[in-house]
Amino acid sequence: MAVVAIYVGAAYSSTLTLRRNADRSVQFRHAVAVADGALQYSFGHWRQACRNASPSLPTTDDLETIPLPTADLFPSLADRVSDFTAIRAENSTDPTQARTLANYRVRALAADWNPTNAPARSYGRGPEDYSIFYRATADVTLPTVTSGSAPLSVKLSQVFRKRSESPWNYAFFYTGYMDIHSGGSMVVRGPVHGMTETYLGRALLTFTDQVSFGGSLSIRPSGSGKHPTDPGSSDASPPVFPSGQPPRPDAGKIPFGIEPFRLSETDTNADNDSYREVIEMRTGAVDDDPFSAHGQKLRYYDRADVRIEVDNANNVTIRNRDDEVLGPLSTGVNKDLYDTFTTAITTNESIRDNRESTTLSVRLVSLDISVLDSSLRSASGSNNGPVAGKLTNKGFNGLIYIRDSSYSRGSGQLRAVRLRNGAILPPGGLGIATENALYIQGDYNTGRKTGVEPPSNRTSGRDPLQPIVAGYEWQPCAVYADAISLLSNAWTDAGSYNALSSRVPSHTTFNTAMVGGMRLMGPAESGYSGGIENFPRFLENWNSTYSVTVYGSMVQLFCSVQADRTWLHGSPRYTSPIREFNFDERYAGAQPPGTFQLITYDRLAWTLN
Amino acid sequence: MDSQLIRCMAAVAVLSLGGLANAGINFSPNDGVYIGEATPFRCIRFRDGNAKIRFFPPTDWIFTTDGNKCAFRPPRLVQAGGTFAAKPKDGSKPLSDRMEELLRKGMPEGAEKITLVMTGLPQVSLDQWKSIHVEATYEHFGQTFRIALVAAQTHDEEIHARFGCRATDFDKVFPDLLESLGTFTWEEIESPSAKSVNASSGNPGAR
Repeated sequence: MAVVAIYVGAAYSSTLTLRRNADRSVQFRHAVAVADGALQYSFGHWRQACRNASPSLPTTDDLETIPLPTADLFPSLADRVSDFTAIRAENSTDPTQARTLANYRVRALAADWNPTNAPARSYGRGPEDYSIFYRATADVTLPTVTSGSAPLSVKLSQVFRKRSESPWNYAFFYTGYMDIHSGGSMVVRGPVHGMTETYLGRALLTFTDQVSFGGSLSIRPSGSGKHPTDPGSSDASPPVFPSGQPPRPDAGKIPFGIEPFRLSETDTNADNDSYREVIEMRTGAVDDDPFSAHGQKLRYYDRADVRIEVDNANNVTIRNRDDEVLGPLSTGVNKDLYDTFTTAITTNESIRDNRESTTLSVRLVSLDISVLDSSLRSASGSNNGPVAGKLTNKGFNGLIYIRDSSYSRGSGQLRAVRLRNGAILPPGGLGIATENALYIQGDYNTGRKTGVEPPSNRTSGRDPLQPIVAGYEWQPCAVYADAISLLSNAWTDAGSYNALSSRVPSHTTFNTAMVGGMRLMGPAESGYSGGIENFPRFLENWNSTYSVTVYGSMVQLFCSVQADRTWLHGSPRYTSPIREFNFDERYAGAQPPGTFQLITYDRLAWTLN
Repeated sequence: MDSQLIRCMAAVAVLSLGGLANAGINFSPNDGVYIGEATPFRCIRFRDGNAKIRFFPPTDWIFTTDGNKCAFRPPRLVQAGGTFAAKPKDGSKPLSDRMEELLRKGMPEGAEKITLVMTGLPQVSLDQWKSIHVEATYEHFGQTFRIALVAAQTHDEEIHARFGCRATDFDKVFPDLLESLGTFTWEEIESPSAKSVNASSGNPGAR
């Protein structure tokens, strides 16, 4: 009997221990889940606080306003905790006084990751490349079911990171779907990122760097399969990726920190249609504009030191950074700005862009970059023109906004901006933004001058790896436009009206970052957009004989609205150049005027105590 | 007559007839595919002697053969249509001086309240050939119609593109047709003696 009692006692003790252990295990899982949920809750509020504070950063004190979670956020706790309580302070040392959720805070971190009030930036390669870290904490205490057992506590902490990077970290960055079905051999050098669907195809496509995607990735299947955007060809092999670097998902990158879901073309707000807003002027109230609210200045009009507007009668209005209209009676730097830009601007020139229309001319506002160069360099020696040195050391930020406001396709008024004589850029570089289509005529930022070509332009011994004339100092520069077309050094306006066979180009080099639109196919359309190889557009008979060398970064930020005709190859539009598209890593460290940020909010190290 | 001379004249006549037979634009439309940057694009092709003409029509328009002409009409629209036709070159007067006469030929008998627009309209080139574009409106049986004529002279022919529809529909459909005329491209020259010497699009795009 005693032996039986001993066995029963042992069994009882054993099952009691097992029960206690099982109970604590279940409670532990619940506690971790609650703590993780609380951290997720704080992450959402922290991200919102970052958005609201942008371009500043929320401090630890600011984040004390993050609301405390309530019991209804954790319905699974209803039968385990009768009185859910949450506090921001740490729990008392007396376990009987423990709150369900304590130490619920988000603290900014210094560069050494110690808590601080104002967060510190940890910089990467350039001024727009930095990370800011915060640590969120949540201590959860749950009672155990077994009577007499101490409550179970878990302490969770997690690092939140706001990361800013410049789009120039990518050879190609697309916010819309990205399709690459290059018709011939194409080597894409530099990182590539597609925010949404990414379609990669064709055997002769080679990537030498990381490809990442935020939406879905579709690598063209072998055999007869094809992508919805790909009209098909006999070549059905996948592209080549760098060894050990297959495409990887990366969903976090958000231009300007404004998530796509905050943009809508269908609501009544005219200032939140798409990322294209940044090249447009605001039409409504600041608070209704996600690109202007909270003191942000994300629109290029608002960021530019010079704002130029041309109306239907070719009247030119020039404004300064304070939006004051400048004129011949302006004084000081305002007069210098006025003189420089009235000299640099030519209106009422016309070309034929057969992609946009075979019947309508495109009226241009032309900006002579050589005039700006003269104005922004000291007047001396050969720099002795009428505006020489006028803007030297006057604090000009290098960002120019220019638009012809009379664009109306319905009225037959096609309008665009042209940059010419841009082979030599002023020190500090330039950023030029327009809501119109943009044409860059001739070498840009190469140092080309009469009789001196960069090696990339040579007719004999052409070297695409040398896109700059010896002795020329490369400048960081970017263009931001509805669509970007590249015209050769041989371009003439009159010739644009000729048949394609007569529009013979010459080797031309463009060393610039480009941010612009693509004419992507809509849901009810089919066909190929032209792909990233046609992100810059062409209008000449390049005929696979003449080269276009580009060193920069290409960013598709929106869909083209003004230059909105679909891609079509051949007469009367263009034939293909020898494309020498190259990623220029210099932009990571020397960023051009108008650089913007790609923001990522993510959760990093997760610690359980 | 000397028999050798007769043989020479006969040979010349045969060659001339052969040349004529080979010369005219045949506006019977044929479906075609143009490959650009390895991407196929649907197009319409016409024959022009030893050359082919490539044309990208407006979306969903219907093109058929009508004798030696090409007839076409826009989708979902009644009382609307047009033709492409090739005519012998008329050297009696410059084309510009004959446009009104040619335009009036497109009006039915009994047309009244005719208004001609002979200048100021958008112009289009058919490949290297500059065209002239004129329009007219008229009333017929109580309805107002608007017609357009786009005419261009090639080396030895005239191309007449005509279109007409109810005036209220004209601006909805004609601009697309006019734009598409700009895609006329003479391609694939098979012989250096071919009359339309234009190789602007001979390159199908290697890249």
